[in-house]
Amino acid sequence: MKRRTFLKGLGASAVGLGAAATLGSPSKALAARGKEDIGECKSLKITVLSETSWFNNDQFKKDIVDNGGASTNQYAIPWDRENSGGYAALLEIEQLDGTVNKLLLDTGWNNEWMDYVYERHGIDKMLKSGEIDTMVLSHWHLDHFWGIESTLKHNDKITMYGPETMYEEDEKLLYGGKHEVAGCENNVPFKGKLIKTNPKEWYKLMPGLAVKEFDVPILLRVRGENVIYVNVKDKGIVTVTGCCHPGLLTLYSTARRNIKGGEKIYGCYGGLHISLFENWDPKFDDIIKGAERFEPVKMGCNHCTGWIWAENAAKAGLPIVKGTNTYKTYPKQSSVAKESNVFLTNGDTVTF
Amino acid sequence: MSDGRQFNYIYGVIAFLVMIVVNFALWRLFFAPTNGVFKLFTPMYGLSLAAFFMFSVMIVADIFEYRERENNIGKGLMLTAVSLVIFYAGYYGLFWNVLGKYGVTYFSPQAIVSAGGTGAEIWNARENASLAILYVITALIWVSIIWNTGLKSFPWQNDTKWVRGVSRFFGVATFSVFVYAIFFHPNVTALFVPKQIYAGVLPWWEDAAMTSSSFYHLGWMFAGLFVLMFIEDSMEGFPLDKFSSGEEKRWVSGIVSLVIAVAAGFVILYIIEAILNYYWYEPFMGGNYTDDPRFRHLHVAEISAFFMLALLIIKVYFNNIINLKSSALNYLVRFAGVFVLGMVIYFFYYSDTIGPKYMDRVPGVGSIDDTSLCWTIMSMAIIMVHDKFFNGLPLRRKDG
Repeated sequence: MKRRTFLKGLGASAVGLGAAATLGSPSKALAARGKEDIGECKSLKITVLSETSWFNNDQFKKDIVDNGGASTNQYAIPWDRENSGGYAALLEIEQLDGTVNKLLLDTGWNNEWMDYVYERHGIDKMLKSGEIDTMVLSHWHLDHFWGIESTLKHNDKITMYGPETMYEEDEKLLYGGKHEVAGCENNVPFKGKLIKTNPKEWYKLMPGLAVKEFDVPILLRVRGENVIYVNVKDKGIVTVTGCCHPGLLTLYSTARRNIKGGEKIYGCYGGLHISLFENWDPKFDDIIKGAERFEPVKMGCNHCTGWIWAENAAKAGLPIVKGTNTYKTYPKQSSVAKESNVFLTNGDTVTF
Repeated sequence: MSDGRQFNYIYGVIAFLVMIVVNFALWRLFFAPTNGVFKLFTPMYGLSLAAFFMFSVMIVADIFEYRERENNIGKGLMLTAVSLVIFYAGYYGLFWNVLGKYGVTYFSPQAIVSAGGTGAEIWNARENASLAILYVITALIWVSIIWNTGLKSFPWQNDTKWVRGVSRFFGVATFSVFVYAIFFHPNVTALFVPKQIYAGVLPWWEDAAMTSSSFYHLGWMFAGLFVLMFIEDSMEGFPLDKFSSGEEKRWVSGIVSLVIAVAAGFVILYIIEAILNYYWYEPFMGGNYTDDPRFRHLHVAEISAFFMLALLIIKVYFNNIINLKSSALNYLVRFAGVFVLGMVIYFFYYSDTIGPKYMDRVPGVGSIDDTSLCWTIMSMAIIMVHDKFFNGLPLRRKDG
């Protein structure tokens, strides 16, 4: 029996309506507001500045397990600093008139590593010159945020979009502070404008690009993630994520439901938060099958996606963009990197 | 009280408040992920521990019928200790060190790590082993409650307590093997790369459930158990008792009990999921959080467990609210009470403020790193220990 048919029949039942009165506004009511027009751009180029948030997966997991598990406070864990790297990407958005806007996504973890990465890609100069004047912080996880000093030392007045669900510890670090146990510090207080994003709004930074916050609980006591939606003319929607905790298909579904032109999904870039610890679960098969139904054209993934998921997705026929061996020229590499190159790794680029 | 003993509502309230304090203390001691001592909530490891302990209490109290009704604290402590020994020996001894190391690898984290391969390190290994153990315990609890509600002591009602206990235990265990093998084992064998296709079939329920996860079965099984618990604890066994005369020929009510557990389980699953669909749209294969069919099924189990907890609270601490001559009115008021309290607990757990502070959890619904079942089952186990081993002290008197 097809379960969906049965469920649809019950969907508008009196029980459902009764619960609606009890639980408040259902999401369908929110969708009725109409679709957001985020405009269009000509193309999007992404450079992987660093996707190696940590280099040894086992050590990272050990740090978590030894200190309480997945839901413990990230600031209460004495992390192995030698294992820390960071996540950051450079977005170059070409407008329909040919002008190119640059945007920084995240700022990594280990300042020494991020300084190296920024210098290698000229990000330090772009920050200093104001060529990059805006950063979207995907979420407040250590590997995306704790390297904030590396950005602020070049531009402490940068405009920053961060989820409103920040904790006191995040605020302390952002405005110049130190966390002894966790081993992170920032000596350059933030003086720019912090736009705290909430899930009700679409933040349209430029034609064809908007930021949307998803208020979801995330491991290590973090909450909420910003996702960048880009609408590329004649191609469709591209999602750009730090970790994609809300789930890739939820992002696609949100685009279809809420963005003008969002029916056409073109692709994605970023960590997809699937088999991040290189394990397997039937749910990961679900994601492969579910993704096929959205018919994406170009999928660039790395970081917390999990090599094993990317390999299986590629085998199943999903359009996974292969990386190069550029990452081998970096002083440190991830212990899970493989010859299959199903990740866009450090130094790789992808254009949508 | 339904057993004819005096019930003092003031003592009931006091006992309820004491239970909350004990609940908070034990949660902080064992599970709380950030401010706890042992931080065992990971979440599958913590959940499997809580479920195993609850089943250990059920083995002692319901299967072997060792309960304390004379307000003897010493005996209560002894029965609690026996439950803890069963829990410890069963979880770490039987599963981790005997079955896992000499039979079925996936029951032991150490055995999984030793076997090597993709994802075979202690984090994944412990979570995977815990999920497998949780599924086994779910099968045991499901069969055990169906058995106790439908068959009670049949067909060993004329034997000694010990014979009844041993026979019923092995009866429950035998049927549980089939339940586990059909509904849960295919999920566990798909946790590994490559899939263990010669050990278990590919999940056969994928099309119906929109996921190959066995959380689908957790959903309808927990929903069915709630109905059976309501029949047993809030409706004094009605209507199952009508199918048999006394302790004789209870096999008919045993079958009816099984049919109710399955049929009511699926009906409730569909009703709750229809309501959830109304709020969160229909889920889709591969979705995350509230979009995830896997989570929706789990959430049905979570909601059912909230109602089970409410049912136990109302029965043990508030004497089932009313005890009038009209059975129909009793059932109606009790159901309303269970529904309202269940919803209160739901909103408490998922609120943005007080629930997360109490539970030491991040606000939000649907995280794969959080399931309310751990706390709910721990809470039910605490109440069961209080009720079955300590006669609900101080709320029940020895003499009626």
